[in-house]
Amino acid sequence: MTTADGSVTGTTQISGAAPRNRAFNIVLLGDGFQAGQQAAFNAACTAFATALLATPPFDELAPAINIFRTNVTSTDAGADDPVSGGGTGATARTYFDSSFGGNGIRRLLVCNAGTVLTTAAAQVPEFTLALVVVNSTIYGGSGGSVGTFSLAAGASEIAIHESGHTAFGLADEYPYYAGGAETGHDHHPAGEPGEPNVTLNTNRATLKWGWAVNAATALPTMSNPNCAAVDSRASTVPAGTVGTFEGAHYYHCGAFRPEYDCKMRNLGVPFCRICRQVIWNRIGPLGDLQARARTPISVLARYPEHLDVFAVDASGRTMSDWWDASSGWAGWFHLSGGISSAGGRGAAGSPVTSVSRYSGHLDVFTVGTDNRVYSAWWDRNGGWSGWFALGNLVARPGSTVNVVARTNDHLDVFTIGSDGKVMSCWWDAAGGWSGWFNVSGGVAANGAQVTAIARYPFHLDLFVVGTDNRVWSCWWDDRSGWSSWFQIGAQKARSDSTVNVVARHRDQLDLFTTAEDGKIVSTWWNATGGWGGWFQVSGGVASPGSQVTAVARYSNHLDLFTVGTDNRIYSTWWHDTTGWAGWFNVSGGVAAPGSTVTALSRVMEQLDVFVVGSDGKVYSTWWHDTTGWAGWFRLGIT
Amino acid sequence: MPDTDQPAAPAGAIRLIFEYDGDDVRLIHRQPVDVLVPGFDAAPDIRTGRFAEVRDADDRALARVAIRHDASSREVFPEDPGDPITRVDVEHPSGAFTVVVPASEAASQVALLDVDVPPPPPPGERGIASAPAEPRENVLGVFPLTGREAGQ
Ligand SMILES: [Zn+2]
Ligand SMILES: [Zn+2]
Repeated sequence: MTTADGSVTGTTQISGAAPRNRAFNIVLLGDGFQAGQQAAFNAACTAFATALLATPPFDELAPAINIFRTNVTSTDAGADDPVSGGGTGATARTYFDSSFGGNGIRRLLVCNAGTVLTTAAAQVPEFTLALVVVNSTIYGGSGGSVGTFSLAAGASEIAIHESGHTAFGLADEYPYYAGGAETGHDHHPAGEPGEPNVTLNTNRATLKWGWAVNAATALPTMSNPNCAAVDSRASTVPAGTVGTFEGAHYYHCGAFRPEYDCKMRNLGVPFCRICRQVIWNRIGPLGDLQARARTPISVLARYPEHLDVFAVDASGRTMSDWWDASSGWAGWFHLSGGISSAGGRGAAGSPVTSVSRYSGHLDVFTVGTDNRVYSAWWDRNGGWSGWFALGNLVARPGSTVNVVARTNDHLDVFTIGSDGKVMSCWWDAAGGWSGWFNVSGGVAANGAQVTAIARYPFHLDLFVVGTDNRVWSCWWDDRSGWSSWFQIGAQKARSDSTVNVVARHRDQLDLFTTAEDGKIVSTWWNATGGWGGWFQVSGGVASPGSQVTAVARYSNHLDLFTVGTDNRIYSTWWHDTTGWAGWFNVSGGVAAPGSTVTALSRVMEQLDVFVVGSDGKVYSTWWHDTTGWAGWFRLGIT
Repeated sequence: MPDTDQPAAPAGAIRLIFEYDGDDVRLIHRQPVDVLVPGFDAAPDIRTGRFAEVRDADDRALARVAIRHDASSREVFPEDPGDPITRVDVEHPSGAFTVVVPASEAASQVALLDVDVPPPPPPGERGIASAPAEPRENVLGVFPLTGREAGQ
């Protein structure tokens, strides 16, 4: 019983139109179908495609899913059905050698996985998932690297459950190993499971799917009253309630699942909200991100060969993508289920801001739809946390959270309260999070954001456009604490203008903002000469709502970026020996009106630039000192 | 200009198919393939599980791709909806699995690793991190990504 028992006759795409190199490609291969029985295989494939694409979230993800059938003719019909597994003793000469009765259990339908995988690779080199459809009406199937299922009613559900393990890394949510009568499965052992859909933790603030839990839902939502047995009571909450339900991951007690039911617990029911999210984060990144156009993108380089990018999609979801020199762009994924505040009418909306205290760690911040400040982190050990609220501050809708890491063990966080007050809190490794406080009585103009910079580990400078539309600053020093606010010259700024600041070296600050008429203006401070006067930079004018972005690649050079009144993306630079250059359009780029350009320099000879384009997609380009500006590319997965 | 240093450059990829019989793992198929390896599969955080680790010629790790294949047990599904799904242990695991790894110009070999990360602290605890315990890594085998085609 080998490949001599049949032949591959061809492959047909039966669903999907995504480019094969950026799709979730499923190959269905037939076994035990004779030449005259191929129509039955074809019908089974069509039925599977219909069932899968009707199963949320695959319905929403269908544009990125291709389904193929590979027709294989076998010498005999059916599959082996050994007596040792309770079968009839029938044998069938088939291409993939399918057999019921694996492990002595008739319903365990197994095949030669090596032959299946090499056949799939030859037929559809880009395949993601290989499934074998076996020509038998005996109920059966199995998982692993190759899923199998028979023609029996409902068997395709096996393949969908198994893909939850193989393609998406989901855990089993059922609360027993061998059906519930086994011993040794009363209490889950210590140690948080790594899978995203089971947990030992019922703390609302730290629950890994806490983002999906309604504040009114009790945690734990259901507790098993008798750990010696499986809790077989009906749900005590409405279907679809996300909480923590005891009994999961093969144990009666101690482990919790996100909803009462899920396809990772029972066949024939929908995936729970959390499993749907995980599946989305595997397939969704193959597509493009439709960004909330005016929300600034945040980017940082934890080390020079790696970028982490944060954006907000058109529906407010907090999104991230990353690039690594070894593996390219990862694709946009939904960051811990977060939704960011859109702000008032016409507002830019709250961005996701980010900081890296050291190369194996990220901290991110945003203002949520309830206008509270949220944070999450990524750590090389453990991956992404959920979002958690920082105290009870109610921020101005759409406010930006600015964050500075003065040291590896300290964060200073700044935002604008609902009353316009400039608010701050901090985190310290030794003491955790502080409460919020108003910085020296400061109040921001409606729409203005506060910016912060740490020139030294013991010093902070803050900048904001005040209610009089003038530029104000104050500082903090560990010996003297917070200073009063003082006005920087007489320049009037646009009320929604951010004051961007860079320190080319520790005793120099360069400030950039937009005047009331949109002119791009700058001033500077240094330790020897104090504050300079305001001046317009090379005649530049920003589009209404757009900010000015500055990067200091080295101590005697600055690069500026903005969106001009024609919505083109402009840049200029300053060099100490030549002064300011004229503005030029970067590689023909056109941005969304009122959007903001993000730029960073991960190595001195390079700039990486990010924008939301006029079509609402995120684009990037780079400049290298040996090759100049590259063309814009759409940021997604590569 | 080395295009691996540029964010836009596609990395290229290689499909590998392995067969195993107990602890013995053999590479039976190696094929360059035009397909994107999503960050979902090549996440940079350190997790428990089996991985294909792409390495350069000097044994430096370039990327890790998850292999989600539990050979130690199999699932048995009920014919009647509502009856429990169960698992049975596999005494002598044998079978095959596949993985697609990103292949930048520097990629020269791939190691199969079983990684065991000690349980993390409860989510949300971020006090002074006592240095996390080192993950244990067991190398099942190292296989070339270039040179004579495997399994051909
Ligand atoms: Zn399962
Ligand atoms: Zn679930």
